[in-house]
Amino acid sequence: MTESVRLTVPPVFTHNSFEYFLGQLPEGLSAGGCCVFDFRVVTGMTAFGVLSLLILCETLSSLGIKVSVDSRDNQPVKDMLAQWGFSQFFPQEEGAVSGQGHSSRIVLPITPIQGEQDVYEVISALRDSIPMSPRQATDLVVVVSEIAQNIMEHSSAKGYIAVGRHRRRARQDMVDICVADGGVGMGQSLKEKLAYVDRRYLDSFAIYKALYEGLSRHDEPGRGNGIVKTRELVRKHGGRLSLRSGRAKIWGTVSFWQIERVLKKQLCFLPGTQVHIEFPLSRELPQYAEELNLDTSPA
Amino acid sequence: MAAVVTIQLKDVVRRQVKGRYYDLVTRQIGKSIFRHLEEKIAKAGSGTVIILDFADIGAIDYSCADEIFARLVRRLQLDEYGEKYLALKGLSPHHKENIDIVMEKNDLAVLVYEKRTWEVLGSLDNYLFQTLEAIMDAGQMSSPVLSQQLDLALNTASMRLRNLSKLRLVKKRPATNDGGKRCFIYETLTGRRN
Repeated sequence: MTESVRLTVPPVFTHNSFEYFLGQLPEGLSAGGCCVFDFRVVTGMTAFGVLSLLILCETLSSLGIKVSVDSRDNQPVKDMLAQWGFSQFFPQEEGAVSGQGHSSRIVLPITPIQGEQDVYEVISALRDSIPMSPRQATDLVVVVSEIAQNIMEHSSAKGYIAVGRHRRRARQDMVDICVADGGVGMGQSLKEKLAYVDRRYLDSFAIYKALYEGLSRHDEPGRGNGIVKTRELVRKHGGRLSLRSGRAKIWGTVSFWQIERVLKKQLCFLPGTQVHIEFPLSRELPQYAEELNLDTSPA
Repeated sequence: MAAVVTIQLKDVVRRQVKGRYYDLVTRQIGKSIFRHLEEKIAKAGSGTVIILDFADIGAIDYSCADEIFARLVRRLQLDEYGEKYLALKGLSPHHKENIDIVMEKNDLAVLVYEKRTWEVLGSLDNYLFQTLEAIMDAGQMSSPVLSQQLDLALNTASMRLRNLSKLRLVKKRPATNDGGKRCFIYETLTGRRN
């Protein structure tokens, strides 16, 4: 008999509610089974939500489990999935998506990252679509390139990037960047360097070591620097960074002595690494103001 | 007088990637830029100073900076390209910050020339920095002059100058002193006062 599971996607599908969603997945789901993601109550989803869902769908499919998305009677979510480009990478059968148009909340729909030219094009697209001061633009480029190139360097699988936009507080615009892959994950990538760590805590320890101490599987002195400095850059701008790999996740850009508070261990397993960055766009005038030598100092 | 070759980095970036911006990003792009620059350095004559001009360059990430500048400087210091020198110019504060972090992490140093000033990015011991300042002010210097100027023992002054030359921050050329003895003169990369 074919096993069928129905998972309800939370109304607001973000990095926080994703853990609840993944927790619904039964342990013993095997090849030949069927998994339906129920999108009927969804009202919104972030770049992290849509990319993590894509990684989950690809993983289940590779295990021989049939996955379908049920978004009947929910036209906005159909449009949303189509606008994010989800249906292009993972066509569904049930409640086929037919959304049109473009949402102002989506800066860059799901884009595959397979080589350095892809990273370059993503960066150019971000520079073109987000009005920023030159300083913000250069820092955002560094953040995106450092995170995105890890897919090619470490994951040994195809990865994706998606960028959205939302408003955190009054007049505080945030750029939502999510870079995700379904590859080996940080624990496996660093397992030779962390041979002394208990297998159960390998993922969480690997996240800590990479993010705070710059541990890399390569021995050259310049390696491992990028992710540490990226965390510092995001923190400097008042943004937030969440990193999920295997069974562990860290949320926040806190100092290392506060890490126990934000490092989650023993979560449900999802292959690869998923990074989510909230990068604030400050209220500085955009690039053209500086080029025109406008006086931007307070009166 | 030795040649000074200025390389526009944006021209090198344009050969490696297609796009409207001149960003130095990703380790892979860094590797191909490094190979291109390495070829140019290898072709240059002995004593040549290669100046990399950052005009119009956008962002530079840590991985790309590591792949280009840390590798070039390390190989220059190891004498893999013969007697050649490297300096940078036209850097924005963002470029300086990121290259400084990378050079510091690799325990290396590189010279940056601005219109009327100069700067060292990376890690350089205080005593070597003090010596470099003296050479930059004078344009060139020998061990006895440095010894007198900084009130150092002659062998200490000589050792400092030799170390700076090994780091490829100053040029060393043989000369003859007043007594007809062979000695070395250490001069700035551009051969001028800064």
